[in-house]
Amino acid sequence: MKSLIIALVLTSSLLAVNVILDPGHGGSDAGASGPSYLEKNANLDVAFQAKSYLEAASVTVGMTRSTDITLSLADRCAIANSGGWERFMSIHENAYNTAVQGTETFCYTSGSSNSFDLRNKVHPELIWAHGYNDRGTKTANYYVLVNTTMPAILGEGTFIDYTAGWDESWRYLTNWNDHKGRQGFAYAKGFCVHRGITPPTYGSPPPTTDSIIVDNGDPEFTSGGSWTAGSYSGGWDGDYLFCNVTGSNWARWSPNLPEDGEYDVYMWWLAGANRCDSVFVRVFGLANDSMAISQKGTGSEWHYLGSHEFYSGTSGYVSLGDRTAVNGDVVIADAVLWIYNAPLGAEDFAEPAKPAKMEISAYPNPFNSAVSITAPAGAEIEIFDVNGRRVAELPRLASLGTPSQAKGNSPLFKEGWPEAGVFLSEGARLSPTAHSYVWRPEGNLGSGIYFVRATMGVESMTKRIVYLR
Amino acid sequence: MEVKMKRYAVLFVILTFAAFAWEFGGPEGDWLSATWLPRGELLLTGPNYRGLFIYYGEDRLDTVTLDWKAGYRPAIHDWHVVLVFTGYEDFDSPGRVQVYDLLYLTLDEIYSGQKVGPPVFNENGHVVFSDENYVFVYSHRGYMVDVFLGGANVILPIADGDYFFCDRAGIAYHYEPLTDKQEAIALTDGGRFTFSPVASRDGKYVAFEDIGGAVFLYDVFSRKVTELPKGDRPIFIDEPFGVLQLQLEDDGEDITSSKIIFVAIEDGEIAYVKDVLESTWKYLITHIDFRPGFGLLLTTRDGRIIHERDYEEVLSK
Repeated sequence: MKSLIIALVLTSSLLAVNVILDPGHGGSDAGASGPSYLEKNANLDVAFQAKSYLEAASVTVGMTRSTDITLSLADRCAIANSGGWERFMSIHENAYNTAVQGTETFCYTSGSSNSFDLRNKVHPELIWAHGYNDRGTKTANYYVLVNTTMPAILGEGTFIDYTAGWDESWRYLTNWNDHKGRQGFAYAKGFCVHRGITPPTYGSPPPTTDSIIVDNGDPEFTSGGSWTAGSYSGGWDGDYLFCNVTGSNWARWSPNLPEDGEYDVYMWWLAGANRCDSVFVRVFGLANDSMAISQKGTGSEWHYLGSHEFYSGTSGYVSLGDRTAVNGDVVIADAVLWIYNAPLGAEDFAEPAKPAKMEISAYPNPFNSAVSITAPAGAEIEIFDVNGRRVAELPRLASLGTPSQAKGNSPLFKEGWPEAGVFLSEGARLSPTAHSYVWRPEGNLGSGIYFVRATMGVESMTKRIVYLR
Repeated sequence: MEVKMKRYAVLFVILTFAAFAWEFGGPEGDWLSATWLPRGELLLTGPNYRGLFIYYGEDRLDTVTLDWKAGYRPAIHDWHVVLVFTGYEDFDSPGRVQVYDLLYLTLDEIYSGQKVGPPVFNENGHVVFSDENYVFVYSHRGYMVDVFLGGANVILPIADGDYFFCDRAGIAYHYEPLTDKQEAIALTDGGRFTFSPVASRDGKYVAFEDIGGAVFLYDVFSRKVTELPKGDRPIFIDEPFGVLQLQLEDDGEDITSSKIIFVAIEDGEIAYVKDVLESTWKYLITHIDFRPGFGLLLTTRDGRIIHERDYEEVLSK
């Protein structure tokens, strides 16, 4: 019993304030979905973010699930109830008809005043997190709200199926503008305000000895194009660079990393209403990850760009470019922070081998009228612009047979280059492992960077292509 | 939820179908679950397990308490003819362990403190509950019998004066106060997460749930664990001995179907499994209770209570 006693006393001392997070759906229940990401994964990612922020505020946090497993509603309630947790927050994303966007937060219609208060405290933070339509605080008799013993809420952060203005699920996939971190922080801050405890600070990891910062004045920083030194306060270490004439302005932060490993990467900028909301950022480590960030909203703090793997030395970097900015939009180049997180897995040290399963090629690239894309057979091909908006797609064609059969069977098979869209290439070989397509952009699409994504099962790969009209 | 509303709810119905002996209910979500009391009355609780109410039939409905959590695992003792529960006037106020005398209709508080879990009766008829630091043993009259370090939100007295509980990390334990030995109960997969334990009336078996839907049966004497069919909210039946459990299906937001199965247990092994009742489009069963002589008591998703008398023969071979 002694270990139990110690464990329980320790546990009890930590249980001054506690909450259980419930990432909705999971396992065989994917929940809602968008073209790029599933709700179950978004919910879990957000829950982990919320957990980190809550723990930073000394809150004891439980989770009904911490992996991608199927978990019934009854089990979710039973886990929370039999554990004696004091609050319950169920994390969901919404879906409707791909054209609706907004945020809503629920509690039970006849719930306690604490439920209403928790809902009312979390909701404005969720609105802050995404800046989407405020669909309001609501009541409902969702099973988890009725069958839990403690004050409970259910948040619907955003409509993950939304594609009318952009691909919302792509924002989850790429963690655009720290999409998931901001939502997780919203739950944490709302909870802390509800419980009357000091909320955590958003996105501001304190620099430590394990962190490396490259500022715009450092020798590890390089830039090209036309940048001007800014004079407003709020830049990292006092200064920053900006540009507002779109061209080929770029900036690169190339740290000398002391060891191989996984690093949390953050970027600092001075925000403003005239900033570009789709700055193209690339994190070049073991992988080449691209994302679009918004420099509007909250600034003068560290914004999380995700966890990325790097080899030691100067081979890795973070770069930023203004080619996606509208002329006149201001782009800021200031500082980037790397914080060592974990060693590389053994698989990262394996002999470099050409990927056997997923490979995309595009030719010519850049292109000015059409591009030929070769991708694995059976993969679903989608093309996105830098804002995550899907501009073209080709449904999965797993068994095309010969080119002539495909031609006869599929309306997607076109002769030559007759019109806009993505088509199976007439002249290309349809091998058992790879198919070739031709993409001819719609007339209303402008020059710029686009991404071809091939998805097959749980694997996906993205290829950047440049369209010059 | 107002008491007045509850009274109207009871007056609202009585529908009789061929399949059901009687049922009653009210506005959606009115009742969360119903449990038999020793003399055939119904112990009811509301959404979020708030409050305890006793339905005597006809139009009589008494309010025992409106405390939050009072309806979560209240304990009933047939000989003492009392029920005991832990309620919270407000979630962050101290929990109150209270005893309600079902004969004299009196309510007495026997303990008050922070973070008190639901109570249960041990084999001596004493009330056992925990505040996560200590396990308390009280007589139902309010005299302290024992207290010792340890515990979890839900703690179960089992045979031989031992205790069973599942901690927040999802590990199930068997604790022997006499030898001060605590043993984690090994399941077939070390990664399992256990919760919601219930003990048989004689304390020789414990059924508990596992993440993923499985229900396990723990034999207190042999320390053997048997995996039962998937299910939710298991309850023990004495004769024939076994576990009655729900099988709830959902779509991630609400319950879509439910079924009741009975798992007969002989010598710690599954003797047979029998389908008892399946939900219809009209009735999504979310809670069950059973007493010999009284029959099945079903609570539906929309807060209706349904009584079925004739399932005793279905439970037996």
